[in-house]
Amino acid sequence: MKRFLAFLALSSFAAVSFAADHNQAVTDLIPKLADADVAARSDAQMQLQQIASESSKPGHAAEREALGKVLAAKAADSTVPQPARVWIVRQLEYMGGAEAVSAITQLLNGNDAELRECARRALEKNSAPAASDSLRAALEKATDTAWRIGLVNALGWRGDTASVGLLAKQLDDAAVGSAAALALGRIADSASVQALWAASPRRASVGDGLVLAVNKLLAQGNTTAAKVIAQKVQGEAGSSALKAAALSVLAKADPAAAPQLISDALTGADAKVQQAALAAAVSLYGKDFTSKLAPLFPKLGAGAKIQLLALVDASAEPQVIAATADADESVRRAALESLGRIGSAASVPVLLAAATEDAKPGKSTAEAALRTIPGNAAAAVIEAAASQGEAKLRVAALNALGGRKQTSALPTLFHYTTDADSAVRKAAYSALRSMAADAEIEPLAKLVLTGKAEAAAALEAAAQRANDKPAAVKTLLALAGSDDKTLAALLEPLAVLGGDDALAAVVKLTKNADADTQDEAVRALGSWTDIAAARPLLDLASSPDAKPNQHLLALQGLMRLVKSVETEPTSRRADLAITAMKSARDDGEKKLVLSGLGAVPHRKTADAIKPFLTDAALKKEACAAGISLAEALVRTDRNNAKALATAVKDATTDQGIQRRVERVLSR
Amino acid sequence: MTTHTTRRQFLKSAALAGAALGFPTIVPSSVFGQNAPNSRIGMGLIGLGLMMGGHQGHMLGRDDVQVLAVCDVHRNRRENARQSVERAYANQRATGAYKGCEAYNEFERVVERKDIDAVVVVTPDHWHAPISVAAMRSGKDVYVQKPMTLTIREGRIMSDTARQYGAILQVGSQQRSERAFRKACELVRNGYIGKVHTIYAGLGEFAPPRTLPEQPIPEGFDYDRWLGPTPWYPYNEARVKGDYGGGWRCFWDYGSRKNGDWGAHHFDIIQWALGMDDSGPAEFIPKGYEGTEYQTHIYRDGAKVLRDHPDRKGHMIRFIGEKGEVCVSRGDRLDTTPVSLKDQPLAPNDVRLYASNHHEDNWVQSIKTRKANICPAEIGHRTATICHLSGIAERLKRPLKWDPAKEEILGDAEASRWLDRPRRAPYTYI
Repeated sequence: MKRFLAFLALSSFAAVSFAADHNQAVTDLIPKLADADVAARSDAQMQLQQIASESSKPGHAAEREALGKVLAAKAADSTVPQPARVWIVRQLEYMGGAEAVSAITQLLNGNDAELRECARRALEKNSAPAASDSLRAALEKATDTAWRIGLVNALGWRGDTASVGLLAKQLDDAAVGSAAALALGRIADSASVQALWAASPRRASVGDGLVLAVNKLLAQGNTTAAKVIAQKVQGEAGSSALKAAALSVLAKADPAAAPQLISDALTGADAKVQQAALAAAVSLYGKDFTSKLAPLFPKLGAGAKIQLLALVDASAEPQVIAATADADESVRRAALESLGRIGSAASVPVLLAAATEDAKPGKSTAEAALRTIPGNAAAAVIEAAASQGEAKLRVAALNALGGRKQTSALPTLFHYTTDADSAVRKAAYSALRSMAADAEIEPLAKLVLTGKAEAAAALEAAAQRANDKPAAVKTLLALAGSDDKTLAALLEPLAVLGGDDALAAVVKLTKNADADTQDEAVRALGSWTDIAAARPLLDLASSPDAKPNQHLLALQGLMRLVKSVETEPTSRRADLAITAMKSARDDGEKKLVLSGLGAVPHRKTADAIKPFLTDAALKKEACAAGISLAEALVRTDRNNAKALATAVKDATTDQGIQRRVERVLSR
Repeated sequence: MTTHTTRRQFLKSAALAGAALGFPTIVPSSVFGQNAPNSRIGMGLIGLGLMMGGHQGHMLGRDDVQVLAVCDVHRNRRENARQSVERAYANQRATGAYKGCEAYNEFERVVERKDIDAVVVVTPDHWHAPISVAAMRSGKDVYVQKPMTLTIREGRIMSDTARQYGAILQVGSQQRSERAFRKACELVRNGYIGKVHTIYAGLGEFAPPRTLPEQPIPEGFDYDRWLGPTPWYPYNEARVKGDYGGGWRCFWDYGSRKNGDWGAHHFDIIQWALGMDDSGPAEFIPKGYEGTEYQTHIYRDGAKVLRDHPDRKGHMIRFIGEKGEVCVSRGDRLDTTPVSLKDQPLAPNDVRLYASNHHEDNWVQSIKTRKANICPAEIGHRTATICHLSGIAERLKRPLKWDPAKEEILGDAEASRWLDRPRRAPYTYI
């Protein structure tokens, strides 16, 4: 007892101390909260918010109460400027308790509309029972419609059973009735439900109120009352949405009746009610959902079948397979789609058959399902189907293997590249292209070198996917040996792989005696994976001896790299484009380089474009490049972007470009 | 509030159901809006600011949708939108003429129309829940922009309403419909980077909210309705401006600032990747609390999400696991460690996530089939909950413990008051 008294004394002392500290802090802040310079109020507002937050931390009940008292006193003090009082009451909204009710009630009944509304909000959140008394008293004398709605809702959110009679009186009011119905629903005692019934559940808001009431009763475990209300709502609901809601809550309130309710809904014609029924069934049946509902399947209409097919689990596979023969095309497709999710090996033949039916619209659905059908057994059946049987089924299986990226099938895919049937060969290459990587580079390169042109795309894709690119280059260079013709056949994958060794080999080919080989090598440099090819391309472009077509190819390749290799610093790419311009031989090539300059946002490219804005032959392309550049540059270098845009503006009368210029200049 | 088991069961079924929705359309003829002209889905567009442009263009380009109404509190905006809709439909007709789109100031006028089957809600955050709930109770389907709500309680109400009223609600977290994000999530979900322990997400910062002087309310702008359920403040253009760099998004009254803006996207993806769509983190620690360098939330298994950690390797989100990493961004950018993971095919028994290649199309297809869409209300609610709890912790400057099953803040009664906010009269309905 002594300890308790000592604790009390200490607490009281602490509270007094808190109150004094807080009173001083709040008093000091008040002038700033009402500063004539509105913008200057922010800091004080944040400081008061911080004090309120600190004082309402868990375990600081005495401090919170002490601050609550201080704030309440200031809020009620008419000598405190209004803007400060508003901010003070906003803090009380989130930390005020019983100690603040009296003061806030004064504001609730005052003449200042803003403070009145703040007070209503604060009382709505205040856990003290007296807050409800104040709100009720205010509603009794309220006349303004908006104000009444606010008070009605505050009482509803508080679940204030004492206000039921008062709220019931509002139900027939055209403006306030809906709010009253929802408020009564949130209160959810027998009197509030009675009041709602008296107002007819056919009225939408009353029905919604009753649904809220059932939900609250269910949350409280009062299923008996919930069931009675839910049954009545279901019997009288007018709209589809309310019927759905009534079914949903009734199924929960009355689990014994739920199966029949769900069954009736699913065999009915209302899609919304069916949707709610299925959601209710998921809750009711849990893991038994499929076994309970699958037997209903034959009795359902197309819409319900489609919804159900999307929810059943693997135990329904036989019914889903049967549904792939449904007379309704949309059901058939939904069933195929469902097999892609829940099917097993048994479903694969069905899907393969559907994937070969060109005339039926389910083909693409079946193909997609084959890509996703789960399980190793299904995967094995697809793989086996690729090896034998009708060609069209084999093609479907090969396409599925590719789509699934079923790498276990990679070794066998090579067998099918020599199949007698051209469609099978084509599908095998296509599947290889989908998933080949490091290990397939050598065999694919060998196919390419033996003249199998279809292998080239797969080899390029494998190169793209390769993890160990230097090793892949080594493999290709070893295959080529010293034979330039063989090397020339591997240019595209080398360009994709990149690296010093590949680059050296390709550069060497640009000097090959055969002109076509030279051209192919220059093209390969132009499609290089990184900026490393820029130097040899620039050398070619700068060489006075370069043949015209190779000169152009080199510039084209260089501009592609400048535009696309965004991992390279813009400064470096700008330098490349500027140097390239110096080697442009005619206006056509200059236009090409202008497009590159316009794609690299840097002040150097901006400066490089400007001289061409006054060149009659190049003005159009220079303006296009200039405005594109300015639009990109404005994000990082506003001054240079605007200077360029201004120069473009002076150089063109094109309305479209002028509009773009204005947008840049307005940034 | 419904039981956790119920929601979890439903979500899991719904997610599985949708796992293959990248498939072509399946449409029974019975499911089109029966009252809409030519059996199209009658559509209302509500909130005609920056974000609506793309949605409006998409809906006008569809032959299974008829935009019948537009709604905004800016008179000029709604009139321009009405004309734009009618012009688009006129251009599609041989006669070159069309009238039939109404413009409203009050969303209630849209929601009460029987010929409207669905609404697109692209208002500021504080109007999302009131409009969506009213629409669902009136039998409409809803596409609502992210974050789905202003408060956590609104989210529970929206999710329960959608489920009980048989509504199709989709949240505009469109990153779920981007291939790279799906692939990233599948890699993480299926354990290809091992147990995930750290995730970095880049949200950026807004300027602090400011106290603003009063300006005259522009002619034709219903400012009181724009404020709607939020506290009254004098009008100032900076408060109401739609601006991705700030505007109303800076103010706590209208959202959870960056947490509600980019957080609604990236936290959503993290939830998806971790398989937490029916749950959420257990702890929220604000930046600055006892030296915490980055705003953090922590899942029960220990996975930590750090906001704005700079070491994201140039990406929006970086997942770090015991065996590797996945980095992902918009623009189909996906990088992995090891690099080979990027092309890692899923094994036959791996989880395949719901595949959607177009977010709005996915919603329209969902309306037709009544099947789950890629981002239904429960998912939107769980993601928005993270946004809001991060915001509450930031405001209160203290950590919060969260029970995602009971949806309660643990041991902090005052923080719990922030689970909902009182609404300004008369805009108190939800």
